[in-house]
Amino acid sequence: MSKACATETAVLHVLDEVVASARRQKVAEFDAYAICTRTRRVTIERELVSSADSIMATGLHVRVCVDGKVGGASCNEFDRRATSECIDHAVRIANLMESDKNWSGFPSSSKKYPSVSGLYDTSVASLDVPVMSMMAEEMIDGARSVSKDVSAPYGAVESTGRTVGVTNSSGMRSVMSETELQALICCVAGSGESISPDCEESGQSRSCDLRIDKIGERAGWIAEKSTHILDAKTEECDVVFSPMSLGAGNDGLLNVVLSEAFSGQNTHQGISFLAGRLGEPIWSEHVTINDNPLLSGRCGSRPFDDEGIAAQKTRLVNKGTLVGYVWDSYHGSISGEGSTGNAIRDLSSGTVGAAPLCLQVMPDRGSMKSLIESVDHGYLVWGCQGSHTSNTETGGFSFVASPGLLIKNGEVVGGVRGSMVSGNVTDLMKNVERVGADVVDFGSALMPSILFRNVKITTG
Amino acid sequence: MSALLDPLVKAVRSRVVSGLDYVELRADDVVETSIELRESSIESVTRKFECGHSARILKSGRWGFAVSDGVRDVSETITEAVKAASALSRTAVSDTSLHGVKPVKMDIPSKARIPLNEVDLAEKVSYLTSICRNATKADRRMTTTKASYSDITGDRVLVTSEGTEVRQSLSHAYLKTSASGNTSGRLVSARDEIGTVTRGWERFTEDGSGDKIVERLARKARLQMDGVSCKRGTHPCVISPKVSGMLAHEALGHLSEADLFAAGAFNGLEGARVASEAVTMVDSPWIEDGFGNITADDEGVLPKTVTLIDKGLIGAQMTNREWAARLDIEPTGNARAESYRVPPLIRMRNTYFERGDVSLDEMLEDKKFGYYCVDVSGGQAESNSSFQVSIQECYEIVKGELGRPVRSLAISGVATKSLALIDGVGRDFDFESSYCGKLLQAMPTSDGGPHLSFKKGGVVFGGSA
Repeated sequence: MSKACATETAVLHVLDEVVASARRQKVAEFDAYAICTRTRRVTIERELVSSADSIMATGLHVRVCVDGKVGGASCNEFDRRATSECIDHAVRIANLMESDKNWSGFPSSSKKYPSVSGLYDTSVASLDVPVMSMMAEEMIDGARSVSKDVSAPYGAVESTGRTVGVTNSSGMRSVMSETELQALICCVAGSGESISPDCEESGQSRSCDLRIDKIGERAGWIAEKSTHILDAKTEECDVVFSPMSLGAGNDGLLNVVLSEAFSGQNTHQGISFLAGRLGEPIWSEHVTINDNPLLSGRCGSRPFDDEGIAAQKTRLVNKGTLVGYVWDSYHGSISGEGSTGNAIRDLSSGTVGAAPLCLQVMPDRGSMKSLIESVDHGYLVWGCQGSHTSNTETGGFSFVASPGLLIKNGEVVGGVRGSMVSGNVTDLMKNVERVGADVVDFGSALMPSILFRNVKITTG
Repeated sequence: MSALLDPLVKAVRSRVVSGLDYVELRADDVVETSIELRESSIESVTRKFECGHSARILKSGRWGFAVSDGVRDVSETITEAVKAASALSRTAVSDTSLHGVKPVKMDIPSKARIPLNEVDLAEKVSYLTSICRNATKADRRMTTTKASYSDITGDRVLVTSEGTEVRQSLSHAYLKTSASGNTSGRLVSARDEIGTVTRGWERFTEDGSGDKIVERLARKARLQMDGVSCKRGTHPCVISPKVSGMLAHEALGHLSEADLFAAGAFNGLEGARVASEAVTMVDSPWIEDGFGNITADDEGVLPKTVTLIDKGLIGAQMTNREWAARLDIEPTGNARAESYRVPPLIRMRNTYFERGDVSLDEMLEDKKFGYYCVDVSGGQAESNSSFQVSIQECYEIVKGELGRPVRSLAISGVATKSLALIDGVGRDFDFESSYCGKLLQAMPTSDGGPHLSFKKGGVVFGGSA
């Protein structure tokens, strides 16, 4: 039996335990989500591989509904006692709640799951520490190949095998396995006043096809470029955003803001700037966005969501016109839109809400280099320092371009310090001039580089 | 001996640790309660039970780390960590050593007067519902209020091969509230956060704490609705204790963490002057109601106060045992881990500027035009000392007086330059509680100080978002 099969058996076993426990405790309505992950990680510190980690983790989240009252509980152990206690606590919590008049039950498995290929790669699942150490060294060498002045204070290579299962009282019983290989490096160059900012670059894939050396090279290139400091001025001008500055999970501007804004739950509650604007031409006609978890081998792809509902491709923006939101079953039911298979479950808080699984900004043509070449005077934003503080309800943002670089006559000529970029995502997206074809997979987003016109830059 | 401590002590005394330079075992057995509310509707209530352990080992100067659920097979986890360290490539770091410390045996009880796990869920829900309901009532333009509450109670233990045994009773709680509104078609939002790692439910109920949250939320949301746009560029400004705390933490504190110091803007500037003599900044393991309070760090080191900027000169670095050995200095007790699932990193605790002798009125009076930044909603720093702070409460300063409120904005600067442009250090003091992120670990910290006054050029205003 392969590792994936063995883990899937274990996950299904714990889900079946939940079903048996619920029956024993006479709980008629319930759902359960189980996850089992195995992670191996090697860490880079001061340009050397410094440690190796091996992490096994399991998690179980249970929701029950008693007379329209919903309660939840979770635990991290897969045994009969733990599952039984989980149900017991969920029932106790449900009994404290008031009946939810909007409750329409846990979803049924009426729709067949799509076939999504390339989610599991045995070569990633079986990666061992020696091979991952070599990968990390290859990434450091890639960074150093740019210049001896470049150093890599930190980084990591991480492989994960994950199995997820869902069951509920409406007959759902699903399980899937996936793998992910991630690599991250931070480079700096220069010293004293000319020291570069932290120049991070990363890559992730379901398989071992990552060009690890290129990740290091890109981080090294941007760090080296950033040491030649030039003056920026307060102005409105052309700005090229790198895929990382827009798509990274924690601080990519569009990923941070749009993941919340397209959530049907947030639009329904009026806490999204996209609420009530369906059918309106809101952005540049160069912008088309899908949520597409069905793409082969992408890190955000999957056959079903965290409630077990079949995943689907959903068009959100069509040539600048807002055409859709994403929904989980509860909020989709309240709004009358139905689920789009976009439930996301937070095991700690117990919330089940809606979010894009794989936000895909549709690429057009050309590389980031060709976008830069089309700019006479402007900036390249490689990273957005502080974009996580953007207001996801209003779309407002104000961050430091870090690293930020000056473009003159189609070429990057040096770095700028402390240049702030501010505005509103709606205004920014109206000013899209060109979308590149250089798509990078960030897991929850597939993002190309984009050239925007009339972006506000502020300097000291 | 406790049910959590016993298996760890047994494992660390077993043959499996022979030949290892160091073994550190940590375990949690905790219950986390989470409540999510919108207006008076409960969106979710969940109890999470978590029990697990980890082993961090040093073998031939190389680190290995492994994690497992429960506390049954601790020896196997040690073996897994040894395997990981042994498999590192030949060129990997192989000279790691730790600064020696005297082993400690401690039992750290919770100081909670009203233990969080003894308060009914219904009481917690009722308290949060009242905040959301009253915040909505405070201004008819407010459309949505939300509350996210979580608390963690239970035991955390640390056992090392050197004989350290620390058992801690946890009482962590955190409440984040937000209010959103709509005025003339423009969306606005404001938020508030309070937390404790030492007290119990009394943190939320004493001194009209709930009413104060409503008052603060309503004020901040109203200011967003009625505020004007900020003028982009650099202006003289005064920042409140909450904002100076964010600056202390983000722009300066991270640069003084030993693992980040070497690659950061302070490297090579040890002892150099970066500010006037009036500026002193420390990281302290304990302040009254501090969210970053610790009694021992996660390597069992008894923590010390570290003076990061001493009368304007770059001072000491915060260390763990590894970096203390590397720098040949005493460890400061800054090794902290979010949970047993991750190895400890060098983290701040309670970071703040020391008081000065200037009043707020004196700071304002000499400014013809500028801004008074009062409250923050987040921030980030870089190793080159560039900082960004989001401001959710701000006022114009016009001819020495406070003027119109200003809509949400962000400020930035380069700390090594900005510090030199501080021209007033207040005689007051306050701090805020928040979570700091580093390498995906969230850690409770407090950041604070007095009011600070900056000359033009010290802070850049990025314009209202």
